[in-house]
Amino acid sequence: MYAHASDTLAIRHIDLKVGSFQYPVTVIQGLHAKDSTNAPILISDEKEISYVILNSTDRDQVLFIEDWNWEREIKAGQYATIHFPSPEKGTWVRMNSKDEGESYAGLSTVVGCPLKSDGWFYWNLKSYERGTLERIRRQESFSIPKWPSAFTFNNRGFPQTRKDTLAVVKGHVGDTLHIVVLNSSSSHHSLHFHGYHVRILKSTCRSMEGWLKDTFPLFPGEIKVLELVPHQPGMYPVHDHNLVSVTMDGNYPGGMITMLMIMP
Amino acid sequence: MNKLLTILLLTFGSTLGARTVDFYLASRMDGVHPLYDGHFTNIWGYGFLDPETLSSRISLPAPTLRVRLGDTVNLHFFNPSEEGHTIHLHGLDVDQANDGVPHTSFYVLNGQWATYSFVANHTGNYLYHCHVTTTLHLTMGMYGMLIVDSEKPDELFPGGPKFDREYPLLFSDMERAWNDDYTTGGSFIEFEADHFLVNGLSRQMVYDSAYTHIQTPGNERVLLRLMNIAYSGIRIDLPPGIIGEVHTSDGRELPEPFQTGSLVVYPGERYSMIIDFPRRYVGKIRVTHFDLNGLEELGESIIPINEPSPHPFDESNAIVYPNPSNGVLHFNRLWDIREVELMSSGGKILLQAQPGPDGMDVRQIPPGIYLCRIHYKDGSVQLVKMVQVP
Repeated sequence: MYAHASDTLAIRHIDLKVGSFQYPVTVIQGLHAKDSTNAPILISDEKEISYVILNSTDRDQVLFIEDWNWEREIKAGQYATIHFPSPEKGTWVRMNSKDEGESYAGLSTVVGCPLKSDGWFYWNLKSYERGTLERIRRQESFSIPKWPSAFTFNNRGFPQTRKDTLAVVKGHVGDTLHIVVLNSSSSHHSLHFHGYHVRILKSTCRSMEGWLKDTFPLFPGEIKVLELVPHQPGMYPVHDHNLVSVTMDGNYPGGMITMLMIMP
Repeated sequence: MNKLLTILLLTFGSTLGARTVDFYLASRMDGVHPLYDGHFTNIWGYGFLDPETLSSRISLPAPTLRVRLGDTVNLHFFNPSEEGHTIHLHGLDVDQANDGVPHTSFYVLNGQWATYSFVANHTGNYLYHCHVTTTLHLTMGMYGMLIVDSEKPDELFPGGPKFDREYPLLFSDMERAWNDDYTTGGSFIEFEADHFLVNGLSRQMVYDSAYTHIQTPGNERVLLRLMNIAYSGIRIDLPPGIIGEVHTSDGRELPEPFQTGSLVVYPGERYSMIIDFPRRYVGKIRVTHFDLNGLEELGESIIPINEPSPHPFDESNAIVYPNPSNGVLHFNRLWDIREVELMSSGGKILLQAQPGPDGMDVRQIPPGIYLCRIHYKDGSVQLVKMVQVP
């Protein structure tokens, strides 16, 4: 789930179970979180907010927000109180590890302030290759692999995405629903909505603000904020049209697929 | 074959603009498709279906379906193939039952009929494809274009920009090994396209099709309908000095049209671009496919504009040659032809074939005067008189 100011956050090394294998990844999430999702970090448009963040990994971590030219270091095994600035409502930025390996290993989320809506959701797209993650965990040299094998929304592959309350979009016909999408992976993706067109409210890489689309690209590191006002009820998939990414360990269906559940 | 012409049934309602359009389609897994090097590879796909005889012939891409804004559309779908298939109406925002996703809509199993219905509420460029094991069924060829036209045939959308000529261009790719034998293709994670297709054609074949070789005498506005169903992304580079204006994407008008000489189209996206050619122009549009994992360039296609071609097909040229025949007939617009029938002057069909680059062998036909009935992939038919000499 997402993080509120009252939460203590933790940076962790965990073994992520997706598909048939375990993947050694790095996440930032609530101290008592029982899942493997990177938490989106909510901040206020009215006042500066501070989070206590514990670094429970075996190495120093530098959190980095490129858009704000902002970085904070937390030593291994220590905690720090991190102050976030107060942005405009609707602003979302990516916060990731400044270390390329830890960033590839998944330490990447959004920081921001949602617009008023009838519901908001968060999709953090990430792909992994197990051998590369193992080298990163052992602090060995690595290169970005050509062929990742695990593809996830919020560190879950379909059908496990259906259990994620931030990944499955639930609402009613006529609601205004917002979805914050972050591409944390090193690949390009092309998200396709069944059943609906969405309006792109924010697009950090290729200017598409105001466009109504059913399919759109996501560049590495990009955030898109989407507005969905459903005109019909139904249960529909949303998936990557980079078709390799709707597999998990080579098996279909899997990977980057989630669902829209729209009630009358 | 005449029945194929009746497959697209247009049932007009009581007032113009309130039509019901019925298409009959079949899916098959036994097609073959020519590649630029003369190799024929295996395809699965859709084709028009004769509802009386249940005969069908699939093509890559599947037949383009065209309807008009406001039409009620019924796709009557018969699946005689050994595996289940569906039709997903990509971008049409249909209701859940008609979405073509097996687990949320329904499968169409071997021997079953189904009807997909929707109202065409927005003009624009759409796709249809199978949504069963999509990674495999798409690369095997189960996709096509669906276009919703405006009421006025020369405008992009009601009140929108006008055009004089149009080219729907569907970009796709394949890794030939998968199509040659899908059981030995390997892991999809390692899928690496090695053939790059424009409306199913690759390399020099693109030059020989009236659907992919842009022919404009100038003083025209040419509409390109650009659709990507490939595994890869594509970058479309217009010739130097040529600028297109992009008006719509994914069946919706853009808030502001924009001008560009280069457009990137990701898998599943569609765009409408209008190019103003004030005079006759000769050049090439370059289409570069790139890998989505690292932007590595994988291959390219060239869309010629008024380029010289080894098989010219403008209407002043012969359609069938040589004529009189010396035993082998050649056809221009070769890659646009679905089938050729050679008939006696009394209308009896003597030969029926899909000609290839080596032509159509008619040596067994005695000297005389015959009719060639040429069936094109867009459903049009052309009759040409042919003389066979001793």
